[in-house]
Amino acid sequence: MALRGCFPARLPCLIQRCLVSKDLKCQVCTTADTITVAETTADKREKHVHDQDGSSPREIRERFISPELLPPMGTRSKLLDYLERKDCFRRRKVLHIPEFYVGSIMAVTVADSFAKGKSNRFVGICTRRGGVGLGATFVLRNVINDQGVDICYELYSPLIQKIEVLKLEKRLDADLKYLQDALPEYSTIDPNMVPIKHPPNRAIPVNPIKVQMKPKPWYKRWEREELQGVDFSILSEEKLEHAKQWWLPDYKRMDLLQHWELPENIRSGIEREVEQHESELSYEKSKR
Amino acid sequence: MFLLQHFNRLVSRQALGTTSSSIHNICAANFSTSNPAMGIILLSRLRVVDNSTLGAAAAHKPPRCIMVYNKQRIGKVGDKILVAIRGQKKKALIVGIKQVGARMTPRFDTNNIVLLEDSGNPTGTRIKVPIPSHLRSRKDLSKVFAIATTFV
Repeated sequence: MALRGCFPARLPCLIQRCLVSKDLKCQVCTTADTITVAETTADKREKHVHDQDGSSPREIRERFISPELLPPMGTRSKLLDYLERKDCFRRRKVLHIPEFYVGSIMAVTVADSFAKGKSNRFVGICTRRGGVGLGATFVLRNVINDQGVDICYELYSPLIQKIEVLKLEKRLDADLKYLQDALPEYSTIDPNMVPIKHPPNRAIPVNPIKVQMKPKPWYKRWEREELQGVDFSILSEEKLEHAKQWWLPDYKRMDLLQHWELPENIRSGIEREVEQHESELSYEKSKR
Repeated sequence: MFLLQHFNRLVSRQALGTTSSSIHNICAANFSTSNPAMGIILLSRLRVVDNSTLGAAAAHKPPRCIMVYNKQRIGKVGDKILVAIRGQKKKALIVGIKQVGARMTPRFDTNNIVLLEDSGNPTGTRIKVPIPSHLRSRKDLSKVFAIATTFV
């Protein structure tokens, strides 16, 4: 019975696992890594450049949809996705979840029964986002007293009391896990940082910073990933040339599955749901 | 269920006649034996984070774990261990590891320990680095948290 009870909750997770198992594995890295590598390829770069160009003051951005609301590639239950999205909106009515990206500086307040004010605030740079629906997560990183700390937060966890974005910006890469092998100054953030307000309807700025790495050993051979935001000047040119063998091969870059996008009808349906949610929110605000 | 799928996948790959390298990849993808992926095991190198003289003296040669006091013999945050430090045997408490733990709990860049006396009291008088907040539910370790400065 216990197993039956937990099954619906674990269903999305299982589906994800199935999806991963169905995909063909790349020679070096797992499928999840392949996707991140693909995101940092030339197409994404063009998009970033476009963002930078479009920072004229009257530019009106597209409606932002939080990535966990968009279902990933694969055969999924549309009903399950819909119900989970509904639950997400119900939580969003109680907790304000702002727009943020990998590279944004954020502060999260979590309920903590042992802390002084029964809550604990952590400030850090968002290094990765993951998960679909209610299982969405994000990782914050900071260096406190010369000690690097990563915390993975669940976006829809009932323990979270407040999510603030202190500085809204993007980085050149879709995943900043390499910051744990970079020099500590690149992930050190003042916990008492004053929030920098982002003007509405303005394009999100991209931070073109290139981080310097610590000497090896690293968590991973980062030079083998196609990273834009890392300065590998501590490695010899020979090694860098050798590492290029493990970059995404051209035939994979041309693979249509790498360029998969959510079908227009599903996307517009979700957009309508988000719009409805926002109008409901503003109505409730005006009632107060 | 997952195991069954895994097995089916292996069988189907073999039936298709794929190379052995792809099978090797599948096997290698599911678990990792690299240092950051594991908990504290026998002979793991550690970092002393309190201000005890013994810990400071061992800076050039990191202390090693020689025993983990639990049934699995794999140390996680909050476990007591025995370490070899400067030719001595010392008890210690793990206060942070590289391995990714449960959600909403911190992951540290180093494997941190606090040295303990045999009585359970900490050897040092101050801990500089942050300590995971969820550890504070342990009543028996309150003497260690009394000397801590920050919690995350």
